[in-house]
Amino acid sequence: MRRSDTLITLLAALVVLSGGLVAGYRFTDGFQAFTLESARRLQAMNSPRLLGELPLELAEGEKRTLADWQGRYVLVDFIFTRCTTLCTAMGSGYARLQHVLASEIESDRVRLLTVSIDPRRDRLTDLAEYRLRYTKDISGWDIGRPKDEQVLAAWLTSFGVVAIPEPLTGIAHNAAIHVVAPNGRLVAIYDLGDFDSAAGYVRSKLDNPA
Amino acid sequence: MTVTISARQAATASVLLWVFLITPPLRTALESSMLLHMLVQLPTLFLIGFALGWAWRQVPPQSITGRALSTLIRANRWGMTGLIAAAFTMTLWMLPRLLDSARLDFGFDVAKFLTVSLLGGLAVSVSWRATPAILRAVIHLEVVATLLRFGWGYLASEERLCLVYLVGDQQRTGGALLVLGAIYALIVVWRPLFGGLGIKSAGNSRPAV
Repeated sequence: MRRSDTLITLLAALVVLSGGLVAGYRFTDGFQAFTLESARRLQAMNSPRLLGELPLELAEGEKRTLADWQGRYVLVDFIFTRCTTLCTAMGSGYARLQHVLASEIESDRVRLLTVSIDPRRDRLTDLAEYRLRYTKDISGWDIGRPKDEQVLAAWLTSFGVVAIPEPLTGIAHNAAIHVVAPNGRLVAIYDLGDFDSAAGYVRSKLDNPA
Repeated sequence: MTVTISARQAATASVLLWVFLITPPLRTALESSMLLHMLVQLPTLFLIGFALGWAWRQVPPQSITGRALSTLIRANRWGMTGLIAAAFTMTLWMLPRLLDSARLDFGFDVAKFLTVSLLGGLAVSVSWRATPAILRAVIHLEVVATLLRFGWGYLASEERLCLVYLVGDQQRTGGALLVLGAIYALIVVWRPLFGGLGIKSAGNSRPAV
C-alpha cells in the first residue's frame, strides 16, 4: 500500500513537474522572454506578424492605410506631441534616420512614419509642427494619427504597443523603432536610441534581399 | 474565546470572496497597480485556495469529496506533487510578462484566478501536513529566496519591466517584496529561535518548523 503510494506519487509528481516546465517554456518562449516587450521583439525576429490595413490621417489631410506603404521598408514610431521627454529624442532620431537613409528614401525603398498615440489632443497641425521641429525637409517622413481611439487601439494591438496614463507627461508607452518589411510584416524592433542599428538593419536587408 | 468555523462556512466564504475578487470593480482596482496586484490580489487568491483546502480536509472521509481527497493524497506523499504544482504556479505569476498578460487578456486572468487558488493555495493546504520537517525548511527557504529575488529584480531594474505598470510602482513593489521576504523569514525562524513567544498558547509543544 505505502509502496504503491510512493510509486503513484512519483509518477504524479513527474507529470506535474513536466506540466510546470512546459508551461514555463511556453509562457517565456523557451525561458528567453520574461517580459512582454522582449516577447514581442522575439516574435518580430522569429515569426513576424502581418500588420494589416490600419487607417491613418496624415498631417497633410490625406487618408491612408499602413498597407499603402507596402513594397518598401517603413520605420514606424509612436509619439504624442505634448510629450517633452522621450518623444523629442524620437523626433531628433528620426531626423537623423532621414539623413542617414537619404538615398534609400530617395529611391523610394524606405519611408519613415510617425504615428500619434493621442488622437484626441494631437491635431493635424500639431503633428506637422512636431515634424518641423526636427527637419525642414519633410520628404520621406510621414506623420499622422488614427482617427479615433478605436482605430488607435487597432494600431497598438497590431504592433504590441501598450500606452498607459502617466502623471508627469500624460502617457507612458513602450516606445521603439518598428521596422515593417515590404511585405507588411513587423520584422524588427529597436530600442529608442538605437537608430543606427535600425538603419543598418534596413540597409543590409536592401543590399542582400535573401 | 473560541470561534469555530465550519468547513461549509469556510468554503462558502472562500468562493464568495473569489467571485467578488474576479468581478470587474474589485478586479480592475486591484490590478490597477503592480503593488496591489502582486501583494494583495495574488496572496488573497492563494489564501482563498488555502481555506478551501482546509475546508476539504474537514469533510467526513466516507463522503464523496472525502474519498476524492484520500485518492488525491495517495498521489501526494510528502506533499511532493502539490508543492511542485504550487511552486511553478506562484513563480510564473510573479513574472512581469504574466502580470502584464493577466491585466491585458481576460483569458489569462481567469487562468490566474483558478491556478493561484487551486494549484497554489489549495495544493499547499492539502500537502503541507504530509511534508517532512526538512522539506518544509527547504520550502520556507525557497519562498524567502524567491521573494527576495523578485523584490531585488523589480527594485533594481531601471527599465520598465511591465508594460502596464510604471517604474515607480515597480520599484515600490520590489521594496514591498523585500519587506515581505524579511517578515516571512522572521516568522519562520521565530519559533525555533525564541520558542513560541506569544504566538501559540503555553504548553502547546508542536514541532518547531
